Amino acid sequence: MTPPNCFHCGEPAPGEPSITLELNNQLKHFCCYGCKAVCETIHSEGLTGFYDFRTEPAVTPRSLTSSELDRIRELDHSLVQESFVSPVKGGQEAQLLIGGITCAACIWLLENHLKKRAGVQSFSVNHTTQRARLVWSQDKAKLSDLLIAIHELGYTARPYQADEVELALKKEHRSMLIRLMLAGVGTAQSMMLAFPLYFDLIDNIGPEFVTFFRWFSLLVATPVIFYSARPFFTNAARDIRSKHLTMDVPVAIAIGLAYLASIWVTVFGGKDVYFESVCMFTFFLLLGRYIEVQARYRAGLTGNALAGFQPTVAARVEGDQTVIIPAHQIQIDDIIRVRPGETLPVDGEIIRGQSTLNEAALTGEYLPETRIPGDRVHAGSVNGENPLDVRVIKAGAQTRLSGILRILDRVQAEKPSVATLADRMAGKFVGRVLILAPLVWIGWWLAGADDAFDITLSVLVVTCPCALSLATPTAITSATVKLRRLGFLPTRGHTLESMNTIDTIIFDKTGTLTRGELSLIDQKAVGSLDETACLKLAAGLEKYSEHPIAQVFHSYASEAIEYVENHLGGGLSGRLGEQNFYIGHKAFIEERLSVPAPASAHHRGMEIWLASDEEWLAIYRLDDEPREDAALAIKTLQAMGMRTILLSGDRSDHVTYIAETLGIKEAIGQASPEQKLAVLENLREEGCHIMMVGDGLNDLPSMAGAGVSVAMGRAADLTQLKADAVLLNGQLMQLVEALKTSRQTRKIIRQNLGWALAYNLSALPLAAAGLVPPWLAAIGMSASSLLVVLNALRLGKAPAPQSYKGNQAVGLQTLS
Amino acid sequence: MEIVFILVPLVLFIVALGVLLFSWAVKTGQYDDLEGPAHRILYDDDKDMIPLEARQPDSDEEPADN
Repeated sequence: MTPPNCFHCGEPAPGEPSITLELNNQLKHFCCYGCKAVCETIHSEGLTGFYDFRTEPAVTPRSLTSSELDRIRELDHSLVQESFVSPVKGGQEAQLLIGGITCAACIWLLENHLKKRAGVQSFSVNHTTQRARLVWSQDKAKLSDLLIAIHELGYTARPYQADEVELALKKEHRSMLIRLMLAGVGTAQSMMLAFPLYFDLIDNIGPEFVTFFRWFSLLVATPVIFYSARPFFTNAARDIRSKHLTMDVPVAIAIGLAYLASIWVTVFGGKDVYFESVCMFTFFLLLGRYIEVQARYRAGLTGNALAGFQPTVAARVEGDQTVIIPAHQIQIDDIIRVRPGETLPVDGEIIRGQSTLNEAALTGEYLPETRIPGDRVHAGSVNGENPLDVRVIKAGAQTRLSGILRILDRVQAEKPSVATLADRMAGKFVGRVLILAPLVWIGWWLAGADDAFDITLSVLVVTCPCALSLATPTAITSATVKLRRLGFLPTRGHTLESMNTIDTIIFDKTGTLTRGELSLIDQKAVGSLDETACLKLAAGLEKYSEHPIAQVFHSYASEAIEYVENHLGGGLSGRLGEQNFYIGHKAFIEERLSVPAPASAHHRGMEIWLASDEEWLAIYRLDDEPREDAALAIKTLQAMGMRTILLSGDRSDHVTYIAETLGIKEAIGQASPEQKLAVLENLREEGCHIMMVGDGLNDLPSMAGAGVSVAMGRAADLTQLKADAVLLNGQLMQLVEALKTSRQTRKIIRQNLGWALAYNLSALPLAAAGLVPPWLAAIGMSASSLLVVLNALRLGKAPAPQSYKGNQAVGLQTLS
Repeated sequence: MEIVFILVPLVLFIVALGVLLFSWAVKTGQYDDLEGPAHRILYDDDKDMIPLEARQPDSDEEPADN
């Protein structure tokens, strides 16, 4: 019989005796006391509706350790609050980033939970961005209490501050939406006004109607041209100045000329006006731009991308006490105190204390290293268990971390901009038409034709590069929308086109091919207790530690062990009833136990032992496992003819092991960020087109150097911001789908361009010969554009998104 | 047909109002979250607002205790 699943988080709840709670006369099972406590809180506040509404199980809650509580308490300090709290009418407003939201019901729960707290004036969570806005009155509640209330429900909350990049993106996103909407409304209105003009409904009424409709069309089109289409004009102006013809140039010329010509006709009389075509053209193009901006906005939602790595405040040791000062005021030779869980703001040397430091940001190594007085430590490392006093050697822009970021900026600045296919064609085509049009006009004028102007206009309209310039963006838009549904988010305009040429894919190891966290791969009971009992003891001990090893055990049901002590670099000890229990490295336990350790076969990964006073109880093997779909993804990519390379900063044996398991033939380990970049540059010189998939800050320079960079969805914020694409759900198989779609996209773009060119080339001579009246030119132009758009839409037909998770929504009740 | 001379400007006036309203909505952040409100409307968290005599007797939900 399978154990019931936890009512709250959906994990198996094998507890013996089982943890249960009676809700509305129904017995519910829980995997741990944390889940039960959350459920009780939810129930006592009358928010049980959460369990009916949710579509995904909640995350397993975790109680806060004392050092985490200290850190939250610190947020009450006014200097700390300076960066993310601003006064509003009747209170203070804080910007928070909420973690652990799995579905919309979580937001409902959080909002209702917080609104019951005293002092909270308003609390709202943005579903898309998981940002929250909290307004509270400082005299009635402390911010830290409110944050703890959020943690009570199993969610996490940390302050965030939007940086300039994000603010700019947000502004761009909003103004783009308004532009798009204006263009859409303008199109509808001007079409309505053009309808009677097109179909000669007005012939039998009178010319005053024609004039009237034209003037009003002009009125409608003007804001569309001057507001909605402005990005095209500014881009075109920029491109002309930098002597680099892109698609924006013909677009701007087409819009501008058609608009001016239509004004001319409106004022001085003539045959036809094209206001509605101009509006529609603008609208279609903006639609593509909007989707691109939206994708970039989503990927750029990073808060202060560096906040996690560069703390804003630091505690300076002055005599016997510490004073909190802003990080930028730190001087060389200051002594600063770094508490457990904090990120180092500077490079320095430990002078007091001993702790483990997680240096993943710099090296990619996921396991913390023990550091003792005299060791050099670097900014961006996260302190583990004990407070450290560090003498500052380098601060601010001199740190190693800043150095890596400078390399990133340099590489990015040197990278040539990608000329898209459409841009290359635009240059040639536009130049020719612009020479031809005046020639046609002069020709017909010399020939004495009365309608030389009309014919010239036809030439311009017929050759309007609408279809040509819509060919690429529409295909890319529709492919982007499809890929986003699958969890692959291209964030740059060129990403999809650049992916065509990719023949080499470089993977980072930790967090990319592997999960980036330890997991329990094997357990064996060697003493008198069975595995379940041992695991509960282990979980009870490890509950008190924040070490990555300990976190493996956090999700298991635990025994209430007391007097737990943390022995740095060794393990933990604690007491249950009359007995002492130990967990940790073999050497650590051997020191405390007279019984010799049982023999254990050599095995990969890390050994953790559990023992009581008298005997060895169990052995646990932990390792950073490859992602479920990694092997399949690598195999498929290789079958597609891709060269796959593993490039990691991690220790070599593990790199080799992972490479062998996944079938990657080339693996390079222990590479520093600079070496990674060097490897990449060598490959590029060999003529490879490289895609780099990574997740850490240490991957950043090499990702910037690659043709296409892909960041994992759980990657460091800055990495996501700088990457060309983000793999939102961490499913590597979506890379395969993305590459396929990119090839398909190229095919569609080719078809579109071919059609647009064929149409333009065949219509041009006819128009120049004066055989195409302007109204037919307009219809032909619209039809060719429409065809291109419809063709592009074929790309959007996505296969049903495949789920590689076996995890289904468990807590869903069948409630009608 | 002369009515057109009044109707068309009228329509444009209303459209202009709509555009202004829309840009106001965008600028005040109402379009920042396009998913949340779609779900929110479905949560019947107003059970305690239903008059006592109108409540369904077999409701499995106790009235909220606030």
